[in-house]
Amino acid sequence: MKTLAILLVLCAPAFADPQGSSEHARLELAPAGHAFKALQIENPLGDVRVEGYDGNAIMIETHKQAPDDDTLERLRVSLVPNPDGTVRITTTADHSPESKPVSRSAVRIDLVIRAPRNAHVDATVSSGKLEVSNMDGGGELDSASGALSVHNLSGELVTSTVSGPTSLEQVFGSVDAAAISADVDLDTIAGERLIASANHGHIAGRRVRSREVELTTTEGNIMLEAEASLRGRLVVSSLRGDVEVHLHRHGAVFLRARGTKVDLGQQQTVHPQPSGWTEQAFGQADHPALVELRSTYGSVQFTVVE
Amino acid sequence: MTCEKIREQLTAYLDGELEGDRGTPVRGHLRTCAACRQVATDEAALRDGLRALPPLDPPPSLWAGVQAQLAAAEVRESQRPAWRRALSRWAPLAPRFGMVLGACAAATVLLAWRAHRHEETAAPSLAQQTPATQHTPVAPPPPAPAPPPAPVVAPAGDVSADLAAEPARISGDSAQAATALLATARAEIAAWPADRKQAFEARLSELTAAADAAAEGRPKQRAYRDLIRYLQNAAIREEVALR
Repeated sequence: MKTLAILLVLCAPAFADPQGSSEHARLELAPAGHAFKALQIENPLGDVRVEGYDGNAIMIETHKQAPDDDTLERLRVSLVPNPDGTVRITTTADHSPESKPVSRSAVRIDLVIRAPRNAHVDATVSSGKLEVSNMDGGGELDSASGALSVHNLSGELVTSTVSGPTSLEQVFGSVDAAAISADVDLDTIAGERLIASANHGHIAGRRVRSREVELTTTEGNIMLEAEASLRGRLVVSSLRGDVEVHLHRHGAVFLRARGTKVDLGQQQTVHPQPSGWTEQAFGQADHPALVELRSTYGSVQFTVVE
Repeated sequence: MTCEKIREQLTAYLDGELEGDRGTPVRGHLRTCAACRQVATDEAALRDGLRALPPLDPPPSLWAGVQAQLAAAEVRESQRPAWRRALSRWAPLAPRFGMVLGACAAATVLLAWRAHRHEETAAPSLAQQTPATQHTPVAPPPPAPAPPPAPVVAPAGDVSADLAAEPARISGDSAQAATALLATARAEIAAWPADRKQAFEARLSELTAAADAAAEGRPKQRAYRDLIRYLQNAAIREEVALR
């Protein structure tokens, strides 16, 4: 901590209004010696928005809301810059014997953080929204029921949520997204691997160009529009949902599909197997891209776009 | 939570003392751990049996005997000299006086030893040059660190209590999803050959144990994520055909 020169520009007008008390503050944290490498953010009390930019400093805007001034005082944002280039930002609500009990829904802390584009983002929210955009250092994002939203991110990305809808757009790197009871929406994903799973929820993917793709749902439908990579592998599976895949083909593709109803268009001759799998080759090559589509209790639809 | 920690809380859980979210991790664990579930079932059955026993009232002769002994003790007390009654009031505190005196003696010895050691270790060369009769002044020992303040427990319903309970709540949701998915997976793999089922159960045990042992928060969430994905793959992709 001693190696960092911290520039704090704090303007914190707290004011009371008919809806309660609120406080808006802005901090700027400038590095000395070396750049910030990573942000660790934990905000269980509200939204988090992280935006990458081409500067070196970290700018944090906090917005607190509470029913009264005393409760507002209990809301804390702590900022800990570490010598290894990691900055930890956490929020909490203090408690003392004199504190008047207040419900969680009555208080709020929202954070807007502008950070150097190359920093890695490691963030956790509860029911608030977590938005990350224009970052190049990858990220690891968690929520309980809050929505996860990523736009224009490079590097490895891991997301996990219980019931927060997940939206990943323009991600250039490997992605691993998991939702227990929520939908996963993917748009413009390019990287070595894309793994996405939803237990009770749909998965929708557009402009997916990852080399290895593995999408799985238990209950929800899966819709995917993707490009087949050379020697790539694409596995789309659901237990009870329908599977619909539109594939842009640039080379040979070997497809196998199984479902209560399998529709491969009418372009090629279908070769059903005794095992229930339908297999079909599109083009000829020693190492075709492999596509496996299955739904145990749902239908499978596949179209190839030449 | 580990099985050991869960079993420590089972009694309170069965007594209904784990209110609200505090019971969630126990419930979640019991859904996935057959061994702990059995222990809970046994203990609950024992309690039910004890509750079913008829109430046992003491006989009237017991109370009469107790009252007679109390009366006799009061008579004896009134007949004792005043100085003996005063002494007997202080007698129970005698061990405490002893402890205080002992502590004072121990502190005196410790101070003397520290002073002597300070002379030896802080400036040995100086000690060689200084006559033995000249003692350097000894600084008083540093004050003992203040005991940490007792943690303030937020009342239920307060934001602080809600935040503290959140990791367990998320784990409970994940455990619930895993339990439901496990039932689905077992139905889907019913037709598997025995050796594959055995392999499934073995891996399931590993992943369940990992989820139980993982710390609350992200580690546990990641462990449940692995477990849920494994169950999904078992239920849906009974074979990995393209590898």
